[in-house]
Amino acid sequence: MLRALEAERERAVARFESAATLDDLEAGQVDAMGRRSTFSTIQKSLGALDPDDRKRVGQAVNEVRSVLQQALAARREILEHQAEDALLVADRLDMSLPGRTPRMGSFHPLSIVEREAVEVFTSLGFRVAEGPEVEDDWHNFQALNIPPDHPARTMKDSLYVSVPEHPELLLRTETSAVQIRTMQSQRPPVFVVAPGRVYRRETPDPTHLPVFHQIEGLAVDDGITFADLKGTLEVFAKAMFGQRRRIRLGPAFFPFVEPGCEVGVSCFRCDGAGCRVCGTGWIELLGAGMVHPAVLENCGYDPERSTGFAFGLGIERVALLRYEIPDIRMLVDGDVRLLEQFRGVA
Amino acid sequence: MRIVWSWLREFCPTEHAASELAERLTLHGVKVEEVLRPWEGVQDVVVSRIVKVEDHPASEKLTVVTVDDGTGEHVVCAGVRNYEAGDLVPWARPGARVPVLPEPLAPRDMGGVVSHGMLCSPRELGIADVHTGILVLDPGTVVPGEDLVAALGLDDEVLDIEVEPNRPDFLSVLGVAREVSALTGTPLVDRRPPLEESEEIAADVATIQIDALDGCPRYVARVIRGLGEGTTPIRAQARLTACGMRPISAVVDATNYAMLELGQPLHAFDLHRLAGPGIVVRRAAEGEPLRTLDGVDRTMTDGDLLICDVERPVAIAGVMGGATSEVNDDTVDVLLESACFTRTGVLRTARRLDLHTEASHRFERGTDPEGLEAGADRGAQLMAAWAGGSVARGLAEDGSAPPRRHVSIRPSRASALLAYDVPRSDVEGVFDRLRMTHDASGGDDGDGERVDVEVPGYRVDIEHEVDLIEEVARVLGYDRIGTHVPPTGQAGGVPAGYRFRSRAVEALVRSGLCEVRLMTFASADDLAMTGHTDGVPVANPLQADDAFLRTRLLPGLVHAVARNQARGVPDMAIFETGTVFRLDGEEVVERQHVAFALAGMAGEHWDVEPRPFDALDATGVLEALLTTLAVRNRRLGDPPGMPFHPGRAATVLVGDAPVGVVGELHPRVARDRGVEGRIAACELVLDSLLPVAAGSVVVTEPPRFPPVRRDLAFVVADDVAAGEVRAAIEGAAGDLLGRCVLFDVFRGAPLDRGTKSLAFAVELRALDRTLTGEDTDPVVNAIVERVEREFEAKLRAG
Repeated sequence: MLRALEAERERAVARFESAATLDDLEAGQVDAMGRRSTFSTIQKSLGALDPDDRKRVGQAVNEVRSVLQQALAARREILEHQAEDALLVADRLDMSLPGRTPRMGSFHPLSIVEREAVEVFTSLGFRVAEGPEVEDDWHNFQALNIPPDHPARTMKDSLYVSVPEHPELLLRTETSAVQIRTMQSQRPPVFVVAPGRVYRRETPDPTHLPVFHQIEGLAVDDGITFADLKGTLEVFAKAMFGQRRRIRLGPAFFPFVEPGCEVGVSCFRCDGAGCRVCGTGWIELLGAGMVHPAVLENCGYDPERSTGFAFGLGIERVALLRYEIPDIRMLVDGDVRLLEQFRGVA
Repeated sequence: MRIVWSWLREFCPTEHAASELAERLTLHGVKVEEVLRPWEGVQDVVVSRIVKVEDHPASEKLTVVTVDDGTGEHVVCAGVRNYEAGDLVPWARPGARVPVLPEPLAPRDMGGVVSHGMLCSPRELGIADVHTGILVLDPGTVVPGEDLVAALGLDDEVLDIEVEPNRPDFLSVLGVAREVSALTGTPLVDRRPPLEESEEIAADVATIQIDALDGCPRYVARVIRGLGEGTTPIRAQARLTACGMRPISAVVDATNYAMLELGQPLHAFDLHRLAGPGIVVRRAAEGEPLRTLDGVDRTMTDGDLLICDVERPVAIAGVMGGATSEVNDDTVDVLLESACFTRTGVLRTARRLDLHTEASHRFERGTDPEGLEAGADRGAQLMAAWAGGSVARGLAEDGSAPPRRHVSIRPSRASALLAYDVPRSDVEGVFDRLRMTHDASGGDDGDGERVDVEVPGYRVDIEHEVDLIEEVARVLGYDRIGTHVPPTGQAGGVPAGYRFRSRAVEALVRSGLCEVRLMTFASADDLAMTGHTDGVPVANPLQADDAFLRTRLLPGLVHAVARNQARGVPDMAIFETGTVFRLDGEEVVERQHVAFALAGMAGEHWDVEPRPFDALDATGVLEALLTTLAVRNRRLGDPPGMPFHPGRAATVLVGDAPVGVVGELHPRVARDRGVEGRIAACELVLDSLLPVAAGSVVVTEPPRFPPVRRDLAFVVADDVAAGEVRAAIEGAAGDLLGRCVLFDVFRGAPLDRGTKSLAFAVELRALDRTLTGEDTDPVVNAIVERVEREFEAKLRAG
């Protein structure tokens, strides 16, 4: 009987392993373990055996059942996986079809440049200050040491607003007016940057707009020096344009600073060798200087005690150079074909 | 300002080429924008002698000329005939280049005669804007066979200098030469020939009387007599042309040449066209008329300064001469004015008349009050040399040059500001190089040693110590200055309003919108579109259409949508943040706004049914925006009216306060502005949202027990607002409510006409236990009962 059992085990295991489908395996299970199977017959005959044989054969029956069940389960898993794999082949998708992309927004290049610049200066301890875009003559001109007959004040250069009884109101020509408002409202030390819109009476062309953006910086404290200005702007230039950048200062005139300077940065594209972006290897980036003593006095500061530096950066200029935008008017046109190219830039 | 290098070298004979010095000059304060070579297009043009002048066999217009360049005779055809045999002319031989022609010259058949090259006019060579004839050269200065470039010095360089308003001394060759001398150490020289004077005494011929010393501190004049027909030498004409001035006549060219050279504007009056021998400088009478030499009748005001003869005004001081006393071809005797006028006076008059001349440009910025005599002498000398004539002895004059300013500089202060040690010797060295007299004998009066500097008349910019410190910094070089980052002693940061606006920008970009920046001007139509009557007018707008500052961002976005659509881009989601301006009485009120516009199709995908953006896209973006900005207690109110759709728009409220508008634009408004299809938009006042935005968040612990979901569909009349049904459900659910989401809206069979089904998924949960039917059934019953009662609804499924 044990021999018959052994033979049946071998036969059943082979039967399971040869099953090609789950249905076939099902049939094999009925055949090998069903009510009318040899195995079942042997199991049923156990009762007729004497106790010793019954124990021995019974143990063997249990072992064979366990073996058969394991073989059955193993084969079933394989067949199930094969069946599923067949389904997955049918479930195949053309992965080159367009994905379901959520609508993607984009920051305006001027926002990108402004934020970067603000981040650099705030990381140095500067605070952002803001002021009105419609300014009065005193804050926009007089306090900045621009006397009443300065050429910058003619109707040609500035845009004025028509407000009854207020001929002194105009659209600010520089963010420098924020310097004055800041100094009027606090004592030194002052470390602020003022990003914002400014206005000039310029007919739009590829390099001019009547509305553009600046970032003004102001530092006033006891003992602020020209070296502080140079150091701050060098850190800024490296942060904005790369650690290899150098800066170069040349004398320049702005009524509200003395000494004044124009600051050039070695070209970020050609590293100063000269290319079609910069021409000479240097990009004139901003105007700066030591705050004019008259400006400090106008704000109630003592210029013998407090000294300071100020600088002004054109945001459009940085955006045009960096992104090689050929015409400044493109920045205010709202052309989504241009602007959506900034989806990858934050 | 253009500075011809050979001209500059007459004053500062540096061996350097202009191009070698350009960068150094820029870094020390003379901003060279460009080094030009105006005549580099002239090549292989040779001084040649005319041998024969013959008629052309076939053409009446052409002349056949035989020239000899020293190597042989050549035949050329010419279109003019202002020369004769023996004259020296520039002959551009075959292969030569001249600026007006794109290609080198080649022999050419002209009506049967082969022309070998061409004879050149001044304009063809780029040396003067004269094209009436061939340039006939002065035989005393050139020889046949000589290359024209060498003969006339056309290999010259020209500095194009950006002259800043504080350095009007750079508006002259001498002024720039002084600076080149200071920077290179090459001494200044004066190679001009001495002025020869006749026996006649100028002061006997003319008298000067200044009645307005506050506008004209000094006025001198020279008298030049017996002027003839001479012409300006061609090299001088070339220099004038290179500086952007047009050669006119020897007399006028002499005044311009002297002005360019020394910076002193001069004016030549025809002595015989002045009534009487006297010049009077006085204020104009209000309304006094004067015809200027450009032929325009001007009306003066009492602030203007006039130059008058004994009868009438003959010039506007420092701006332009009068027509009646202008020099012309018949002028024999000249009274040459060299005067000093105050800056603001000339500036006001020139600006009021919108009359800007080389003279007014210089006077507005400040001329050297000590340079009058030198200017008059040079002008008179050139005039006599170029046009013949003699210069009367001495000057007619009145007034006096103001005394020089004295400004002192503390080396200690310079050291402190520049952050490097500037000893007194360095300060003195700088002012030696600048040829400014200085004196340190004043010593130290308590706040540091001082060097007293005497400021020459041409340095109108130096008034304060800091101006001298700039001279020191500039001459020693800004590269001497070190770098240091100042300790600010504070954390950097941005104000709340700035941060809030940045967050709005980020929220909208995250929602998939494209940020735009638009012009801040608005047209009358834009104001009409929003119904605003309180726009701030621009007094001097660039375009009459942009006569206001914007009162809302929306019109700009609508125009941007139309522009994009006109370019074949129909679909877009754009937004802007920025300032809007309203007039409140006499006060301009500025507010920060955010606005967006959605137009065209809302996304495009091959397995999604396409649909246009509509009002619910706008409310959806609005919802995301206000959620990000932590603005709670928000709701939508009644339609705002124009320019919005009457049934697809709402006022945005926080509490009961309106903070903006959202919805679709009225189709007529959109159509009239060139927008195709629906345009959904929103505009919010950021300044109103900031105070009501939550500063932070206090979390409620997420429930640990799972929610029970019940789906409830109600049939209601079509005009019942889903939002109100939802509010009723939320009210009835009370504390157990987790979420309530509308997941289906259905109309049509088997529902009655005029009704719809609203299906809500209602999630109920408790914080302390898993809910059972005993908990939820009463809540669901309460919801159903309330919705059925309030909206005459019928539970369809649940």
